[in-house]
Amino acid sequence: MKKESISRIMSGIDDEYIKEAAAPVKKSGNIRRYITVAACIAVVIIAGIILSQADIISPSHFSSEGTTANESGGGDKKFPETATEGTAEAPLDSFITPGEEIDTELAIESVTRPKWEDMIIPMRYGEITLGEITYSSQCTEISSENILSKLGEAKMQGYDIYTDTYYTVTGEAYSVKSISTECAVAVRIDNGEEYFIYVNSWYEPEDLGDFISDLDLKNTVLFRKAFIDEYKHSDTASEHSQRVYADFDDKVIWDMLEDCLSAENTEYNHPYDRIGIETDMPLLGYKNISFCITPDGYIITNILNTQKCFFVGEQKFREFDEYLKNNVPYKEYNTVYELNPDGTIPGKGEDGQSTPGFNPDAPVQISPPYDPSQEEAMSNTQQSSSPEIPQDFIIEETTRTE
Amino acid sequence: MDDSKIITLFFERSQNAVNELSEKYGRLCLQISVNILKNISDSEECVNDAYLALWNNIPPEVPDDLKTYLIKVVRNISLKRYHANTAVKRNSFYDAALSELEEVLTADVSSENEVLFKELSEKINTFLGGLSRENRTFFVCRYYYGDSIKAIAEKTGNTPHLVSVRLMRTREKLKEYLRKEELI
Repeated sequence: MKKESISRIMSGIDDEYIKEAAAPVKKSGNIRRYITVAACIAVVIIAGIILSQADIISPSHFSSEGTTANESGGGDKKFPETATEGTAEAPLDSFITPGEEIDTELAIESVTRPKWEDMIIPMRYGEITLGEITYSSQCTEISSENILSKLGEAKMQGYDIYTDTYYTVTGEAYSVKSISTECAVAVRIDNGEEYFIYVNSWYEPEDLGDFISDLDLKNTVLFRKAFIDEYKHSDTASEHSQRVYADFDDKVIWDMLEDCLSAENTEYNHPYDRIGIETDMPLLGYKNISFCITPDGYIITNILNTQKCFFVGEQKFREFDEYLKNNVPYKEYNTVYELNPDGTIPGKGEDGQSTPGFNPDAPVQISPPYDPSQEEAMSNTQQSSSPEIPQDFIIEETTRTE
Repeated sequence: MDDSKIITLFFERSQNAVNELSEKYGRLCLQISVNILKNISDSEECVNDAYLALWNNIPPEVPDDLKTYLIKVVRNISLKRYHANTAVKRNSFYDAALSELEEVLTADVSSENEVLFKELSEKINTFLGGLSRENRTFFVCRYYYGDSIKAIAEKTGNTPHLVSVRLMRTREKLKEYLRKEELI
């Protein structure tokens, strides 16, 4: 089409949109990112205060200053006296000043980190920065068939906490087939043969449509099982039931998502019930991560490590909930916690100590296959039979197949 | 000064009407015209022609939204100059923007086919209605106002890379949408 014709078509854009674009809303910055960073700083400061007050940090052997070396050239390795096989002091240098030491026993309990030579390459080099985006390692290899074109190179730094040594290598970044470079890249380190996935945890899609297309979710995500949890509480017992739906049709989810492509990415910070869906994303190295829909109509996932949340409406939740409950076979697991006479949970009295009523070795009771017509009777049976069961901790499994 | 007061000045046939209009929106109008023509003196002429057009049209016309009305007049006059002057149009921001849309709007439309032009405009408006506000702003700034990617990034507080990627994605979506509507 001729440019003259195109400009003529563009002249027909609504006044409303012309006015809107004449005074665009300027972003005030990435508030979520700053809040997260502030929260991290606060945690580090508080941890530092607590540890120092507990007299955990005492002067002596955090003595050596870091040295820099190339991966191939090695460096001056200084093994701390306290390091033991497979463990190391936590990288607590952010709140431990040089010359101070940390309690080894605490460190061993808190953090276990493989030795440098035991780590695979993407574990050693956790990040790569390209332009304005910093990507984090997924420790996942990707086949060269999924690599598209080279994006650039960047220096990557690794730190050996055992020897206090820094290593620098060159990472070549490549785009990955069907994945936006805003989300993830493949990195080849020091001309090696393997490519590894690095993801942008700070990626923020504008809307659900962007999210789906940027990650080609339809082809990269696998939905495994859906879970619906319910909790009941009384004066004498608490009950948790979970229904697991394994054979639902993914198309139902995709139809739901495709109806809401313009749902904007938003925030969701309050506790929620939900239908959880066990999700894998093998291409980017994710297994059993969260994808859920809440009764108040939000789809929430932690794909790419940070929360993405899209409002799709309560109706969508109800439709999916009804679809699962009416069309998909499920297994049900009931866990009954009988409370102590004083109302506390068995195993944890008010003082946090074990109580006599708790038997962690109690056998698990598996109930017969579920019969929907006996639902009410079964419920009554369970209530009436509870006192006769000697164990405080009961798990029931029921199966329904349609 | 409020737009309603400026319109009142036009109705009173006061010379201050154009002065106030120029003071309030002169820079915006010049930017829109320069985006299309990439030539300051031509753009100044276009903006002055737009003021004259408003002087002649108000009254009897009473624009609901003076700013949008003025923008449309400036753009139309600038486009006429743009199409008439083939030497100047090359390398303007608007020329680059239109090139991007050439890959999307591939239908061969006769300039006489007013109905199809109108239908395409309506479909694009429907499509824009389904976009997020930010993506829509990017699109309108780029393809209506002819803003450069950098200017859009500065206006909206984003990086040029982000704007560029979003625009590319929006064009792809638009192409898909028009294909479904059997308009390309």
